[in-house]
Amino acid sequence: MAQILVVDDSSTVRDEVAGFLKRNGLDVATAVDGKDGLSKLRMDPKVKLVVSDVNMPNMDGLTMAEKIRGELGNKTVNIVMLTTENNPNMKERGKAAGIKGWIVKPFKGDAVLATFKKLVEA
Amino acid sequence: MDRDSNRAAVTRAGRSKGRHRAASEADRPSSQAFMASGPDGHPPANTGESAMNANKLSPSAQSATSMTRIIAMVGIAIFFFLAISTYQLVKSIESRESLKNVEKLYFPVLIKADSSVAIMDKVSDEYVKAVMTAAGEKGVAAHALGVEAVHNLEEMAKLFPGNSKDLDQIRAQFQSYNDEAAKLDDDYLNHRTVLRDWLPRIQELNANLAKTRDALKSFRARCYEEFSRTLDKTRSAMQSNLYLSLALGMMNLCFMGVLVYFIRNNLRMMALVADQNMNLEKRVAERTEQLAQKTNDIQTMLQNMPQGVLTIVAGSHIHPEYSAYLETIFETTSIAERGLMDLVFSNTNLGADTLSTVEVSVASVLGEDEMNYEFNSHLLVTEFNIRMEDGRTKSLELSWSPIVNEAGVVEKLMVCVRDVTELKRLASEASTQKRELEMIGEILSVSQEKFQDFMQTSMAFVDENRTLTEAASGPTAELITQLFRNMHTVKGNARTYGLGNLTNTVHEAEQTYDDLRKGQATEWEPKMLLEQLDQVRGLLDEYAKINDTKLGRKGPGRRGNVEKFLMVDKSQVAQTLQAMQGVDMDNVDAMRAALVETQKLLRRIGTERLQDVLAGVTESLPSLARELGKEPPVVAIHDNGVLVRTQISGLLKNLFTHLLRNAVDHGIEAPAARAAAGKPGVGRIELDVEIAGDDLRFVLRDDGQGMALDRIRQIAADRGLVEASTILSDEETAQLVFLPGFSTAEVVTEVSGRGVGMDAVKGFLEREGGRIDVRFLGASTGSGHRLFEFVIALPATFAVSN
Repeated sequence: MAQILVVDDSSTVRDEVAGFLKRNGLDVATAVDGKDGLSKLRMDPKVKLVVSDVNMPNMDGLTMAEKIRGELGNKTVNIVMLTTENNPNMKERGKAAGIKGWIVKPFKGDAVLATFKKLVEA
Repeated sequence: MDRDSNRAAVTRAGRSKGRHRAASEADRPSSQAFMASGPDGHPPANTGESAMNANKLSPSAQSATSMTRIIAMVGIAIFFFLAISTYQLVKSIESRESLKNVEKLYFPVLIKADSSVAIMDKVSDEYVKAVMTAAGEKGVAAHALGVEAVHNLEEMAKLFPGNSKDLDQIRAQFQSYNDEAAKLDDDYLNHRTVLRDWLPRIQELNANLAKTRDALKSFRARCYEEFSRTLDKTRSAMQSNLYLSLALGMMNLCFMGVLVYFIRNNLRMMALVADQNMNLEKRVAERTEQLAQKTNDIQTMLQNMPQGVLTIVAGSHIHPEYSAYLETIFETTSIAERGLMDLVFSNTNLGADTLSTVEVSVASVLGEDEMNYEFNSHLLVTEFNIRMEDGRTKSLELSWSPIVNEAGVVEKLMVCVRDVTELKRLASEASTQKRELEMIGEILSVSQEKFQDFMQTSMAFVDENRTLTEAASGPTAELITQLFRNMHTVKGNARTYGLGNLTNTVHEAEQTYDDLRKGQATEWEPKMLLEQLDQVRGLLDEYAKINDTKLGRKGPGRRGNVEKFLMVDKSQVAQTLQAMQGVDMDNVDAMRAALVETQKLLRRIGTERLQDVLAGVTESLPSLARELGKEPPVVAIHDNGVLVRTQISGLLKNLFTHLLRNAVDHGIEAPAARAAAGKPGVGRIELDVEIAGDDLRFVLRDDGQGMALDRIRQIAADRGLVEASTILSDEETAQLVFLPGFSTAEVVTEVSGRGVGMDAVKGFLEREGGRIDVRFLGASTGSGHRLFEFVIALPATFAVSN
C-alpha cells in the first residue's frame, strides 16, 4: 500500500525521486505516464500524494490530474507537479485541477522531504 | 442599524404624532363641551407612546426578536387604544341617542301629559261651570279642550308605541268622559235633564275622570322616571367618557413628555455623534499624517540604504517601490515594471539552463502556496557576475525572501542585491594570504633539515617524471609504474609531513598515473601529463620560496631543538645499543669496548658539528657577496671530527657571523681586483678546528686582501678611540677592531636575529674563558693591508672529539 505515487516517463527521474523518498522511510510506487498513473491510482486509492512530471507520452501530467479529480472522483489525494517550465496557462489548469504545488527540476530532496511527509501524514 | 431604524421610527412617530396631535387638538373638546361631541379620531398618542416605549428598549435589545417584541407591544397598545376608543365612541353614540330620545320623545310626551292632565282638570271644572253658569259655550269650549287632550293622548300614543295600550285606554276613557260630559251638559242646558239627574252623573263621570287622570298621572310619573333615568345614564356615560378622555389626555401629556425626552436625547446623541465624528476626523487626519510620515520614512530608507532591495510581483516584474541603490548597482534608472530576467539576469555569466531554471522557479513560486517556495527556493541563484555596458564586471549576491499573506500564498518575492565585487577581491586576497599562512604553518611544523630533504627528493622525482614523460614515445607498463611510484612517494611524504596544500595536487597527478596503470584511462596525453607535473613542480617551488625567503630556513638547518631535548643520531644510538646488546657479558674486553662506545655516544649528546652550527651563516654569505658585487666564496670547514657542545653554538654563531661576513665584506676582493691580483674569481675562506690540549681552537683565514690596518687606524682616530697622533703597531691596530664603538653597524640576519658588536662577542668569548687573537701571516705589505688569520680559543670542555 503505497503512500506516494511517482509518475515520470524518465526512469532516471523515477529512480532518483522514488529512491530518495524510499531511503527516507516512505512507501513509494511508480508509473511511467499519465495513463499508467491513473490506473495505478485506481488500483491503490490509499495513495496520499502523487508526484508527477508534466510532459509525458500517452497522457501528460495535467490531463492525468484532471482525470484524477474528474473520472476517478478522487478529490483528496494531493498532487504535486515536477516541471521544467511554468506558464500562466499551466498554472491556471493546475489550479483548476487542484494541484498543490510545483517543483522545478532539478529535484532537491531536502527541500521537499518535510513537506511531503506532512502531506502524507495529513 | 437597529438604532438607526428606531431613530427613524421615533422621528416617524414624532412626525405622525405632530400631525395627529394637531388634528386631535382641533377636534378635542374642552371638558365643558363634552356633551357636544366626544374625542374623535385616533389619538395617535398611543402609537407614539408605544413606539417610544419601544425606543426605551431598543438601544439595549439589538436583535430581531426585540423588533418583534416592539411590534407586538405596539400592536397591543394600538389594540387597547382602538378598544378604548371604540368603547368611547359607542358610548357617546348611545348617549346621543338617549339625548335624542329625551328631546324627541320624553319631552313632548311629558309636556303633553302635563297639559293633558291640566286639561282634564280644567275640563271637569268647565263642565261644572258650564252647568252652574248655564253657559252652553263653556261646555262647548270644554269639549273642545277635551278633544285637544284626546289629540294629545293620541299623539302621545303615537310617540310612545310601547305604552300605547295604556294611553289608548286612557284616551278612550277620557274621550268617553268628554263626550258624555259634554252630552250631559248639553242635555242639561237644553233642559233635557234636570240637575238632579245631572249631578250624580257628572259626579260619576268626574270620579271616572279622576281615575283616568290618576292613570295618566301615573303614566306621566312613569314616563318622568324613565326620562330622568335616561338622563342619569347619559350623564354618567358622559362623565366616564370625560374621565377617560382626561386620562387619555394625561397619557398624551406623558407621552409628549417622553417624546420630548427622547427628542432631547436624540439631539444630545446627535451632538455626541457629531462630536465623535469630528474627533474621528481629527484622528483620521492624525493617522493619515502618521502614515504619510511613515511612508516618508520608509521612502527615505529606500532611497538611502546602500543595499539594492526590490520586490517581484505576479508576472515576474519589478514593483515600482525599490531602493534607490539598485540604480547604482545596475547603472540604470529604468527599473520599475521591468521584468526580473531582463533587469537582473541579462549579461551574466550564468548558463542558459540556469537562467531558465530561475525564471521557471520564480514563476512557480509567485502566487502559489508557500510550500512551493520551500520546494524551489534552492534553485534561486544567489551569486553571479554581471557585465556592465562598458565591459566592467561586477559580482552580485542575491538574497531571496518570500512575502506571504495570511492565506499562506506567496504574494511577492523580495530580493536583496549586494554588490560584492570589492568584497570578493578582498576575500580572494585574504584567501591567498590564508593559503600562504597555512603553508608557512605546514613548513614550520617540519624541521628545517627534513623539509630540505623532502624538497630535494620531491623535486627530483617530479623532474624525473618530466624527463621520462618527455622522452617516452608511448606508454609502457614499466614507465607508467615508475611514474606512479615516484608520485606516490612524493604524496606519501607530503602527507607524512602534513603539507596539506600540496597533497591534493600530487594526489591528482598520482591518480592519473593510477588510471593509466589500471587501464581505465587509455589516452596517453603527454601534454596533459606534463602540465600536471608543472603544476606539482610549481607548488613545490612555492613551498620552497616560502621556506627559503620568507622563513629564511634555507639549508638543512641545525639538527634538533636545543632548548629541552638533545638529539642524537638515531642510527648511532641504535648501533651502540646493538653493540651493547651483543656484548658477551663474560668478556671483559668486549664489555669495556662496549662501555667506551656508550661513553662516546653519550658524550656526543648535546653536541653538533660546526658545519651545522654555522650553516645559517654560511648559507647567507652568497647573497651578501652578490650584494657587494663579489663572487660567493667557498667556505671550507675542517672540523677534524670535533663536535662542539650546543652551549656555545650561540656564541660561535655570533662570532663567526661577524668574522665571516667581515671576511666577505673587507677581506675578499671584487672579482676584478682578484683577477688583477692573479687570484681565482671565487674567494676562499677556511676554518680549522682542533682540540689542542686544553683549548678548543678555531683558526679562520681567507685569501682576500688581508686586514686594512691603515683604514682601521683612521676609523679609530675618527671615532675618537685613539689619539690621532698615537703611533700603533700592527698588532695594536688589529686590536682596535675589538673596541666598543668601533663598529656601530649591527649585523642583522633573518636567521640569527640581531647580532651584537664585535666587542660584545669578544666579551662573551672571554666570559666563557676564551680569547681571540689576530695572527698576521707574512710581513706587512705596505699597501696598508696585511694578511692575517683569527685565532679563537675556548676551553676544550666545550667540545668533544668524535
